Amino acid sequence: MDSAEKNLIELSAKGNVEAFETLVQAHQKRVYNIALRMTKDPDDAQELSQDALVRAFVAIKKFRGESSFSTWLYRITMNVCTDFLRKRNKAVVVSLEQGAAGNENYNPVQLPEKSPGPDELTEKKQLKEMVKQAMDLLSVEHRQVLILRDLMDLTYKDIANTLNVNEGTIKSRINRARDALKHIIIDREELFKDYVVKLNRREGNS
Amino acid sequence: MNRCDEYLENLSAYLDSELPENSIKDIEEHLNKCEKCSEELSILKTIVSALNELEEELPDGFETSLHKRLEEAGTKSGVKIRFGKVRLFAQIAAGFVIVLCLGFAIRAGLMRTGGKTAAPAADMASVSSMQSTAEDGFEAAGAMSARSVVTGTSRSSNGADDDTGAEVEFYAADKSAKKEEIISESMAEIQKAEDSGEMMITFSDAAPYTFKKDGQDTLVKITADDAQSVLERIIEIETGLNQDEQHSNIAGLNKMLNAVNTETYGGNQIEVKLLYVNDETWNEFLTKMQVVFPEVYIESAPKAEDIEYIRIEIIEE
Repeated sequence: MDSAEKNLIELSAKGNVEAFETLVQAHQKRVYNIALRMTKDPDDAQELSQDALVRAFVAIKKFRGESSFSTWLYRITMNVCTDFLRKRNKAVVVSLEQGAAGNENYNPVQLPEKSPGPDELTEKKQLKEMVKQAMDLLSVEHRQVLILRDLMDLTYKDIANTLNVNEGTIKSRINRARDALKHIIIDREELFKDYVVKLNRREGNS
Repeated sequence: MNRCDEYLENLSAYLDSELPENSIKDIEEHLNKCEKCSEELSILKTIVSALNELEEELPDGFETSLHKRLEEAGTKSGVKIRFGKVRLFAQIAAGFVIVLCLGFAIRAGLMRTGGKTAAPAADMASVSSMQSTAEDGFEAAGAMSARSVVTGTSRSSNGADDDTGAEVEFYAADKSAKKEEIISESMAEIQKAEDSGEMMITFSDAAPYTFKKDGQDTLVKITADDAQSVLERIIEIETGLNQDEQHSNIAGLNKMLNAVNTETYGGNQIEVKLLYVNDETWNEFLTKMQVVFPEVYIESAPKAEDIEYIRIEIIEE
């Protein structure tokens, strides 16, 4: 923890709102994005991310620097979100076996049947949309690890700390989550595989 | 499991640079000669890079409304999350617990009419007896607490004002001035926490009326708006503790969770008793409690040597 951050934390603990706002400036977008991917709804996400930030402000006296401030903040955010999901809908988990087919909200992205031409931006956008929709179909547990890993860029160790689960479990959970994501996409979109291969070739990514 | 399956299991960790040095070399050698696995890696890379880009901008006005909420949180009197270590005298500890139960149950509107009073009391009784284990002391304590709650409840419905903040008499308490003072202070503290709508954990020393003559009963009380999630989080902690099966608390917790889920438990108040066989597991439990409930402020806790059992009471608001 650098001294500026430490200073801001101390001021926040005394109830200084401005200090807290400066402190979370770099994190609030991520907090919002955790909530957005967890709840899939921008309004809920705004409400819950602010809930999490307010809770952190109130509880910051308790923060002792055992983990990084961001890990602590993400943990609160995850707790706020999972509590909300449990409350809203006890059956929020969509397992892979039930699959995307059973979900009426699933609206598969139509991939172009032929080569879409040189417009790579459009392709990327489509791929992003497809992954986003598939992500929404994952179980809460799988979504959690992918948000923390692939959106927040946390290490396995930090994810383990955030979710209070051991690192080995995180490792296999991430692997299973990505596998589940891949299957949702591939099962729905036969074109996906060709598409990926083509995209990779073009980007020299393989 | 064939060779490829083994490598595929490590593919994500490889991509995330989370594999040890020797495994990296091994998997790279394999990827160089296995088309199937390298194709998998390529799919994985594509998905992950798309995930990397899912981050969205904050909605307009986010900071303004956050600022307002932070200001509001700051101006509310003092600390929102209340915690207190409450020291009680032996004889009145039972009364104290009962009063808390009643206080919350009444405020939650469960006992509004005389006719309905019996229902939550019965629920509490069944929950309490459900917690019993084969150990005699444990069973006796469960029964005692159930009986006490029933008694207290009927008294409340007959006499006291059923509305919020009702006065409840301590039928079991020795009414020396000192003790009353302690109890009213504790009640005021709990009331404040309840008013703020935040979570609260209270550790309190309590009475040896319970399990073993020399043992201490410790109360951990959590006020939450979602008892189920609190229970699940506690089970998560318990799962990671190094307690042998005989002393594990998980079975009891699962039973309780099941009751909550299937709504066989109708009250808004849950009480579980947890057993820790040594200092190490107790300390570990405590540390993890603080990790799993980061938004809860815990000031102090009883020393390990002072307790043998801890009781966790979860009240759903």
